[in-house]
Amino acid sequence: MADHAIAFIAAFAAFATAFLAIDATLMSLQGLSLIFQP
Amino acid sequence: MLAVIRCALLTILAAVMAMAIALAATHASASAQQAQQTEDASAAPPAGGEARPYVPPPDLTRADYPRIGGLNGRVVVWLAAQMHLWFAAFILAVPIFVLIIEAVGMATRERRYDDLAYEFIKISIAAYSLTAILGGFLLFCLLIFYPHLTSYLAAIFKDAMFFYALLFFLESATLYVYYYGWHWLQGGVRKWVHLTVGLVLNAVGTTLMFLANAWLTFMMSPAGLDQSGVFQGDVWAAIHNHLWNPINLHRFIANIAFGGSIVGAYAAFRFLSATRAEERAHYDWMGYTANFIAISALLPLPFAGYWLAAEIYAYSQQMGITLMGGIFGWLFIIQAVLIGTLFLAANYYLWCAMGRSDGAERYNRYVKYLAAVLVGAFLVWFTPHTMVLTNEELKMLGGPYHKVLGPLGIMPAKNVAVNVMILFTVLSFLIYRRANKIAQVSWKKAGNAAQAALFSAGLSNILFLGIYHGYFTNTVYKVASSVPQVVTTLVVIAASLVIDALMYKGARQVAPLRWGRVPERAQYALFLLPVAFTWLMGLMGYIRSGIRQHWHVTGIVRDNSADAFTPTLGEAANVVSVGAILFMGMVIFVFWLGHVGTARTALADSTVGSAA
Repeated sequence: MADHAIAFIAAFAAFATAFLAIDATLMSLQGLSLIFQP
Repeated sequence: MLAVIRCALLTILAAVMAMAIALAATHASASAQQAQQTEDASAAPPAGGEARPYVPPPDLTRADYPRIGGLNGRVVVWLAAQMHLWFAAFILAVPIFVLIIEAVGMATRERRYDDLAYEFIKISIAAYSLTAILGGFLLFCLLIFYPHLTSYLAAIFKDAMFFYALLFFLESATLYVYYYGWHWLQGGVRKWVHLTVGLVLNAVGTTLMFLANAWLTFMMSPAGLDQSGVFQGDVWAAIHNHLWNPINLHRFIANIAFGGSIVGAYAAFRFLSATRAEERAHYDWMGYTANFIAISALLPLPFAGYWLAAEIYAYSQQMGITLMGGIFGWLFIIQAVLIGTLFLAANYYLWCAMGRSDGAERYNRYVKYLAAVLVGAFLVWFTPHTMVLTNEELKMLGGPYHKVLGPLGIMPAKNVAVNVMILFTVLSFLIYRRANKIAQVSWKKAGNAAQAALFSAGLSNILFLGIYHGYFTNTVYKVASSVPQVVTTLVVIAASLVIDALMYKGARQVAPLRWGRVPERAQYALFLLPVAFTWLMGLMGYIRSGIRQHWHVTGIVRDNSADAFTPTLGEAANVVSVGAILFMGMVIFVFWLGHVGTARTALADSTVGSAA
């Protein structure tokens, strides 16, 4: 069970990072920042 | 004999279509010449300048719209166009997935795929002639009720219309060879020839649709004209107008979803009326395959629709606001109800279909959670932004927006809801797939954790983008954040399917899948899908056309007929509903014809068998 939880947390962190990278790239391609607004 | 009659009928119809198009082009050419002569007579051409080959757009009066008896020209043309479009969508879609199923059968060397592909095209063959009849009827209606507009459009698109007529012959020819040559072109090189014919059939069919799309998108976002609306001679510019490609993509995907749902209903009917277990098993499998096709196309459809709507806004903000912020906004609420119904019905079918598997009981307990999320997202999707209220109701509410539900009425909430519904439909499918399997790989626990993490991270990201950018930033961010939302959904779908495929490679089956062991109520979900699709296409088609408002061609040719007003939503819904009932009746006729053909063949086979 603990192994399962660790695997889930590790995978979640990896996928979340990947999604945030995708978000930042796509927003910057549209000339916008992901978090900070002018 | 039946085959010969069908061939003859299709040839005659193709000829009628070609003649009608030629008639329209001739009419346009004559009108153009006449107008040119009038122009030449009234105004001297500029010194040294060449006479312009194209006429200015017609400035119409009420007298320019012929009336026949008490018929309302707009409603007649509306119904004719809608009926033609429904049938055209169906017959363009069927060969696409028939070709794919046939190719799957060739690759896997499983005969049942080839038989299924043949059955799909056999039951829909009569729809081709009906499409042609309705196309001819539409063209004649346009010539009768809107002669000047039709002439103007035909003068611009005459080259494209001529190629359209030629392609129609090619479409018919390839269809004959593809359908009637099915058993003849079997095995080895012959099968490749058959697949190639199918590919050409689809290429021609899709080109035909693209050409017809150009005419209607030109009316919405005209191009290739000068400031006074006179065509400049570049047909490609007129075809490649601003909304052409968004419509092409949206219709291409939607047709597949629509076609899949229609043949799914046929399979459901045959399942319910089957008396033998093998028959039930066959039509259960056919219904599942049809539903799979319909849902596979339904999942990317909202993204194509979003792109189309965004391009409408980009072309004309006024048109965009009329589309979603004005009277038509309420039809989008109906649209949300219908699309939500489609998703719920498709998921319900999958949950019922888990009954085929002996291993499904391991997953049944998750269904209620999937249902709860889907219903929640459905409710968000059709929450209106503003409502038609009396003064009393306004006072009770404290304003036009509900304090709690009001924020759910705007697009960011809808975007989150639709992405969640898509992801949970994929989740339903993944659960259905694994219900009868036991993974054999050593890393299956880690794989499950990765899939759970993938969905969790994806949903978190969709919520973050929807809530943060939707409610705490300005409009530019709000709109822009929908792009990473879509990409997130696509990444989750692709990655989860890859992980699933690897994890269940060489998996053990719990027990053989029991085709035919599915509750009868699941078949009613298959009936619901085409009804919802048909109505949806009719209503949204009305919106697409209605946003031109009092223009035949936006900003160029003004509609000065007695019908130059936006009908009430009730009236529009009535016209579309009458059309949908007519279409359903005709589809039942088409399937009945296919069934009669099958019964005759079976009878002939049994007679030959007993004689032998």
